[in-house]
Amino acid sequence: MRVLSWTTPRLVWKSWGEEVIVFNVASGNTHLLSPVAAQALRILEQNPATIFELSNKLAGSASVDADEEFIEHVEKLITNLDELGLVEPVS
Amino acid sequence: MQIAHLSPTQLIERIKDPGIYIETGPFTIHLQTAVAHIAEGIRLLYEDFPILENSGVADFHISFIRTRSLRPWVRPEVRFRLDSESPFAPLPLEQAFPMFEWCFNWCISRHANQYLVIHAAAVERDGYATILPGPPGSGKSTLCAALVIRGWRLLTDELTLVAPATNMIAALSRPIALKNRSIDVIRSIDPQTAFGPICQDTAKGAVGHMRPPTESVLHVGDPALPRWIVFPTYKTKGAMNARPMSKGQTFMWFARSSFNYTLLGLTGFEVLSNLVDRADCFTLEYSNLHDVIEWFDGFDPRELAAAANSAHASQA
Repeated sequence: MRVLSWTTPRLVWKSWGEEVIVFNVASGNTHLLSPVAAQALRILEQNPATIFELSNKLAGSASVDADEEFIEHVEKLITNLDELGLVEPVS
Repeated sequence: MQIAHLSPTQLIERIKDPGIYIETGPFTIHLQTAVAHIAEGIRLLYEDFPILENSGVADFHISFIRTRSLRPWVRPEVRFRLDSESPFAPLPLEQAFPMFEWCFNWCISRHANQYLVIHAAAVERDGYATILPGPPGSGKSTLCAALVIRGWRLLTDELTLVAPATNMIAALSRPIALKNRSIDVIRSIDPQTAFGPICQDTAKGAVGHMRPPTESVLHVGDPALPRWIVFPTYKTKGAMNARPMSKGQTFMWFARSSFNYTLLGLTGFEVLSNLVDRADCFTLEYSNLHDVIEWFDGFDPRELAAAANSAHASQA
């Protein structure tokens, strides 16, 4: 089975300290992001990644292990971001 | 020529036909009606506003028509028209003037997409604007009226207009709508404050409009730079409590409460980003207007400039 890679639509960013807001140019929607969501979107915006690859990058920056529980959290995060239209699978 | 230059009879006749062109900040309305309640409200509350020659050019052509019934027990009502459209159900004749104000607000909020239109009051001092957002009942109009009485320039009591090209706030300086107990509260601060007729039994309770100060109307063409954003909440008792509000939360509140943020798309995002960037943001609980006015009097626009300068210095 092919493993999906994820990327972002065109986003415009605004941040004040840890508070990050993105404007999704495609949908016209604005979102106030949690720090981890913002970090995930910044990673995917630079380069598409699978959930496994994204988990490794997020875990690396937080100096934790990308264990099974961590990957499950990232999977849920991507599901939420997908529902909001903030990520999309790479075709 | 200003409205005050017309006698009451001339004003009534002219509003009836062909209507008058009133300039209110960036908008010109062509108002035509035979309803005396509206002409009287215009005479009392808009006397300093300029009227233009009958050019046929206006942002909004609005009229109010008294509905007629052959049945004497049916109370007379008034219907609003924008051009040939009649978007709302009629209201009782006694509510004709508040209806004019509500419908004028609706015209701006619905059509003035050259601005980001935010549901908020705004006042100005020394060229800097304080924006007072808040849901109905939060006390923003009462606070706005109190600040205006104490010398702040009225920009708007309901619709804050931010120009995308300049990020400045355009003034409307129209009458301030007050409800129920707020009318007496404002009268207690300054018994000389002029009001139009008080309408009882509207959907919002008793409604009265406070006449805008002449100085505010004369300077309606002067835009103001956004500097402070204060979310007021009126409490029946307790000490004043002002707390910083995060810029992210402020942004999202404005995005939700703006009339056309979504319609403006990326422009709306950029205008709002700039607005929130340059403002100090607070929530404010208050029960005593005198305490609050004192707090506002302490606002100093130089504090932001000093902070910005030191930030630039540290980056360099």
